Amino acid sequence: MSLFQIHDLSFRYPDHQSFELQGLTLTVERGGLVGFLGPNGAGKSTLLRLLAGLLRPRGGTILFDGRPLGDFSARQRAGRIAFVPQSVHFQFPLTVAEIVEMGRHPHLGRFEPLGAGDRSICERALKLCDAWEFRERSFERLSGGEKQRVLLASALAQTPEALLLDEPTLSLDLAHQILLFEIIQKLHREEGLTVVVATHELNLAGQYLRRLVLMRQGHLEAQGEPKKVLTSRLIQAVHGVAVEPVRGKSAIPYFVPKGQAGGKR
Amino acid sequence: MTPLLPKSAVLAFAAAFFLGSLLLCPLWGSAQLSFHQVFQNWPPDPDNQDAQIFFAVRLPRVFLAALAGAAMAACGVVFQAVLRNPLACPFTLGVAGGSSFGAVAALALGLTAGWMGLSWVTVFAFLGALLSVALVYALASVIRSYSAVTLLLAGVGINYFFNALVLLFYFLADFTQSYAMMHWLMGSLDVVEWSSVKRLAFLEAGVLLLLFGLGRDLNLLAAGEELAQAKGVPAPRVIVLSVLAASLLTSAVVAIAGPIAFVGLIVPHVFRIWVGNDHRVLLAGSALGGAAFLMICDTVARSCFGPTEIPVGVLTAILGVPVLLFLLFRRRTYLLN
Repeated sequence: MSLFQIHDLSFRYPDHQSFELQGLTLTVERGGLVGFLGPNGAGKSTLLRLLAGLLRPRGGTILFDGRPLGDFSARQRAGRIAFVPQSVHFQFPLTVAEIVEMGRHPHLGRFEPLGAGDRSICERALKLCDAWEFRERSFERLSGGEKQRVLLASALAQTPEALLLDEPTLSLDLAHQILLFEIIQKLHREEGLTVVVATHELNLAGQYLRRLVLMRQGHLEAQGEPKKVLTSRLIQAVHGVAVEPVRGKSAIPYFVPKGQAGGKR
Repeated sequence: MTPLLPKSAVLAFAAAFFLGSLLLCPLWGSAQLSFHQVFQNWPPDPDNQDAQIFFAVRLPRVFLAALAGAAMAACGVVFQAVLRNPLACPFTLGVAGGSSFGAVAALALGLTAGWMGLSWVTVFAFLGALLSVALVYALASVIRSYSAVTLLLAGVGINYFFNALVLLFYFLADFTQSYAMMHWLMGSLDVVEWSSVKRLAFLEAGVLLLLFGLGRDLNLLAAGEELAQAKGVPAPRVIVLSVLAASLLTSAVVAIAGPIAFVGLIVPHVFRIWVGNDHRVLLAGSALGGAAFLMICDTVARSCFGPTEIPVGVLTAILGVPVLLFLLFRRRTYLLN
């Protein structure tokens, strides 16, 4: 069954006329583990924000669980769909625990304090994301990888059905990139979450994700299983970079860039 | 940032400080009262002068100081959160400029009588404050952006504009008028009646309850609109609601007491240092602390400089700024980490 059904979706930023998403039609299955790939400006982050309900489409429809996404109140939506931004700057410093507790917001009444159930959900989220040890620390003092895991834990505390991550590995070193993808994989496998990741990491996406959507300039270029989408021809067409597949032990080859397509080396 | 004391201890301390100030501040004043005389009979005789001074002059003034201090501090917390700016205060959206303009205009026009038990100066100050907030919103909606920076810039601009008009009135006024204007502009809690204290108390109770209910939303808004929306806060609506509620309360306070400086900026930061940045704790602590701080400042202002009394707005800055600087100096990483 599909969790997100997107039909003929279009979008344009009011102050950025040259960029637009047009005629996007795709579905994200319940329990899916999906990657949105493509170069800068392809529209993967924008598409992710549309799915999260943070932007309103100009045309077309997005159904979540069979119901138009626009019909959900902000609270209802946040109780079922969690969005993890690339980075957050907290103007007034907060501790890790306080940030994770923010995830309970959609489930709490205006004057309702955090209950024992909420606390155990937060504790579990922190542990699943490997962030339990630094729960007392100030967020701004953490490393990039730790911050990303705290934002992920805060999203998990929403107890969502769908988890949407915007370039979660952007400023992380290799070890932290892999750690993050492994946590994502675990959440999908053990918690049954539907996960959508917008990312630049072709190789990690190929290894960890089940289904890929390749975008270019606001259009869908290809979608399907990693081995169908990650081909030298498609990568070269979308990124404008010639790549060479290197086969290792995994089913999906690694792609090594060879330089600008058509250029001399 | 590890707090020096547990949050609950700081809140309990603030509450005790508030109650202590509320009980002790009425005991001091420029007139020496015999408290044996004050509490001699109930209700007090009209010719019992000490009781009249205590119940009709001193008590409403202390209550007004408490209400004004709590309002300014709580609104300061809200403006800092919503505008995501540590320099924001209740006057950031031009409330001080607008209300000063209204009050000075009423004084310049020589309007002395009143309307519904409020003096024209109060009514005009209130209207001026609302006018400035309306102008900020009109500007923001014309350029279709309620973002923090837009509101901040529009507010600062409108404040300058009204301040210029105030100076113009001041320049053209005669000596009596200009003295009255200066007195109002420095902020003062004298000459209040129970009726205006009661009205303010009702409005303030409503607004503070609303803001406290939005405490968690404020935590998220302080972290940015996108994260707030992702966690289920209908951001534009909550921003407009909280800013309008806080502006309304600020306007009401300023209309009665004048633009009392610095309480709305200093008290929130003192509590941010003490209890961290959970806005529900912060609102409660700042309201209690702000009330106590202004009651004490006003008591000093009206009793220690006899036979005259100095405007309380002067004292809040003289006493408050060193406290803030001391705390900032002790915890110099406060805004950085």
